[in-house]
Amino acid sequence: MWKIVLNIFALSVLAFAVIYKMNYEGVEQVYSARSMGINGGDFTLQSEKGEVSLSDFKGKVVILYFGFTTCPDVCPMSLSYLNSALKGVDEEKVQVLFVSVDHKRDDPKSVDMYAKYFDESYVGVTGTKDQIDEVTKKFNVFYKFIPLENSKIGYTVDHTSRFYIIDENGVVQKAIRSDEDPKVFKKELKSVMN
Amino acid sequence: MKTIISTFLMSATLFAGAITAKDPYVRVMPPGASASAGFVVFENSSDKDIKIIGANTDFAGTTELHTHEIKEGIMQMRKVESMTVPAKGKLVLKPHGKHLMFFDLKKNLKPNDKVQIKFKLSNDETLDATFMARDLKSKH
Repeated sequence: MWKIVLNIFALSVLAFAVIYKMNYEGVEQVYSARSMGINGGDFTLQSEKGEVSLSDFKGKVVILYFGFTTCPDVCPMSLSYLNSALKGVDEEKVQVLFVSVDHKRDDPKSVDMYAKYFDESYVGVTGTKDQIDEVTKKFNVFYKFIPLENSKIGYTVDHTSRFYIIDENGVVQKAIRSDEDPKVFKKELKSVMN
Repeated sequence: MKTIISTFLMSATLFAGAITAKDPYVRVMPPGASASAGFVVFENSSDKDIKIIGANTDFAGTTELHTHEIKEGIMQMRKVESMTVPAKGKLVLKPHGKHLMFFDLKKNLKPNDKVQIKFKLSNDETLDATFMARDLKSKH
């Protein structure tokens, strides 16, 4: 009788440990760029002052975000989120890069002004359709122009809203949803900076 | 005839105040942005559903009603022709949700600026509300 009870207890402990481990690893995988099939890589886009490449920021951790300037909600909220999340982080070690995927409507000047509203150190860039397609493919970013009938805006842009954390060597390490708990973002950023 | 007129006036008076706007604000946008968004909670004290079917304001050329969703990490925004404030209920316009969209901004809003917005309701009434401009960097 005791043997059976002990066996059931041992099996329960084992099951708990397996489930706990699976859950833990599952949570970790959510933020790992590699596990999401995101390879990243260098790219070059246009800023107000000329060409900007990801490799220009080697030695810094880069936080990359894709959006567009007519986006009235999730894009400004996400940049504002970064503004708060990066408080207390050494500015010399982090660079925020805002990429507008709206190559039809946005130009480098407006994108950069938009980004710098949140912090003077932020850089806003955009590019031609081919350039945008190349960089979005590297980071598994979905974007699509959606016509809005009878709307003044004409079209909107559905797009992935994630922060990509790229390490000092230009390797993308993390991909975090822009509505994620800021504590999670900070923890993941810290893990890349250390 | 008198009774008909007074009944009409009474019902009109009761209906006119059925919708109220609470905590209305419009977002101060970064330079370079050509659009802004507004948020508000509409409350309906009547026992009938009432729709918001339009809006206009002096500070923007066009005001539209939009939905917003994040589906599997992808942001999607769509224009809608109307939004319903349920009877004895609320319609919440909030960040990352339904909102007002302003295009052709005629004025660069600064924090704490006040703007008037007139809403057209499905019961042929209008609702005037004062929206406060809020900075993106402030908590809301």
